[in-house]
Amino acid sequence: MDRFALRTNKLNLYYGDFHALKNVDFQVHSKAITALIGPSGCGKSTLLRCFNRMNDLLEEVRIEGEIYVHNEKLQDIDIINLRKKVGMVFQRPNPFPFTVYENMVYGLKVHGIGHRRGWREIVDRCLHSVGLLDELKDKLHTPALDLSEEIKQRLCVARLLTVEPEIILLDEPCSALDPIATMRIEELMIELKERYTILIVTHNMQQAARVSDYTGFMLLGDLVEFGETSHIFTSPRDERTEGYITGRYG
Amino acid sequence: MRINPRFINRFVRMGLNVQAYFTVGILIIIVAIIFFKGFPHVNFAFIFSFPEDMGREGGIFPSIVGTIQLALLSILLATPLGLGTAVFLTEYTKESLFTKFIRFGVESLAGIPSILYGLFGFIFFVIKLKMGWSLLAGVLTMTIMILPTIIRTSEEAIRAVPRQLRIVSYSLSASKWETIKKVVIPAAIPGILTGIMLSIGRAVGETAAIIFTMGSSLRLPLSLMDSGRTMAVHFYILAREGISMEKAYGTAVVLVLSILLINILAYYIMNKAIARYS
Repeated sequence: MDRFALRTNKLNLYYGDFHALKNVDFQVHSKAITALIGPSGCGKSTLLRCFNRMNDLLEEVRIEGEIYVHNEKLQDIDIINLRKKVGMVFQRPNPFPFTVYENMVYGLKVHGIGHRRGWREIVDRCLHSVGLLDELKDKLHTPALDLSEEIKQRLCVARLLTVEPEIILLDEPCSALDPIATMRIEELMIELKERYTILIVTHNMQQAARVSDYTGFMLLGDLVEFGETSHIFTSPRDERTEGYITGRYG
Repeated sequence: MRINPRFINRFVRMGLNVQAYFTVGILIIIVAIIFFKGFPHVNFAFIFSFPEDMGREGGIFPSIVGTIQLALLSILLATPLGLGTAVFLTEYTKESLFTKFIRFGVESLAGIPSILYGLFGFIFFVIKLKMGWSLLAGVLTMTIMILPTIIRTSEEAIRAVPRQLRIVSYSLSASKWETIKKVVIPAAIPGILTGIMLSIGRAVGETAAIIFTMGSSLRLPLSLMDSGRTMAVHFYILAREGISMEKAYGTAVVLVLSILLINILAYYIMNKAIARYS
């Protein structure tokens, strides 16, 4: 297995004239949790969105440099396959305004995975993975929007798992959740890293310290420092990193 | 002199109350008069038998069928066309002179008096395309007439679907068309249905445009090329030509009841759709 699931080489990204990512060399280790931290506007979400080409949806974005997914150049991967391989969970829980079941089979329908009759089994397995099977197995045909925020966010993770991604991008997945729900999602991440590579962007430094194996610190479009989480938080090499994690700014 | 604000408050409140009651009152008076004059003439035979002696005797069965045919067929034609236009305007174009032009066209279409649609339908479909007075000419004219309503309401409904849902769908690697088909349109269904229901109401109640295009035959229209009349047209002719005021009011009662039925049905379907999709 490749050591790095995702890798960038001299990555530069511009929004029009604005230079949002500057010469970023970044790696995401396979089957581990990597966190990106940094103050607002530092480019961490922008970097995350490069890996499943969500920036393509914005206008006037220009990208230079190289991105690799398992040593394969990003440009060489067909976008449908890329987004199947590299799934994403967003800041706000965003189930479709349909039933729980319809949410769960959406990806299966889009990719034509399996047969209608086999879907129930996949749905059950993925709900089980996120610890929702008992809670939702009698509510499969009720509207997903009636669920609590935490359950919705878990459902979004489960919806993603149905298409069997290899890498999961989490864009501040707990920012709309209360502390208890946040804790549960963090536990879920730790369970999932056995089988998936996880890259998480977070505003919450403690969260990065609790869940991640590797941490990258970004500031104004630069990847200032990257390393094992324990090192970054105990003995950062760069004084800007130290300033941020000790709360001098941010 | 300064008027006591509490007095003004009470005065305004009373005024607004009167206005609201006035509106409802007018509706009640209209319906009451129609029912009072027409209800005694409505019975099973009136609904299910054919008119005799130009409508002086007998029932209104053909015009009930004609109304249903006209409304149903024009909705079947206008919905895909209107929804398609709305999807194009919202999802496939950027705001430009071109979209402004289309939207201006749509709005202008909505403002044209129905008699002009009738005239156009008569000159173009009936005469030029040699359709004659026919269900087909009526349906095509009606389709053009209700198109603006369907486009505008669908457009609003589609615009109201959060952008975030589209982004999630893309992130699950759905294509643009799959996203529109499986997320955007289903989420916009309640709004789209509203437009369809308004349009059915318009088709059921229209007279001017129909007389010119579908004609006013009392026979049961059995093919697209047959002429026929809707209940509204039947009512108009009975009353206008002094054939039978009793039968006219009877027809009006059935017309009002069917519009009521359509509205109840619409609410039922809409609530189902809303319960499912939101």
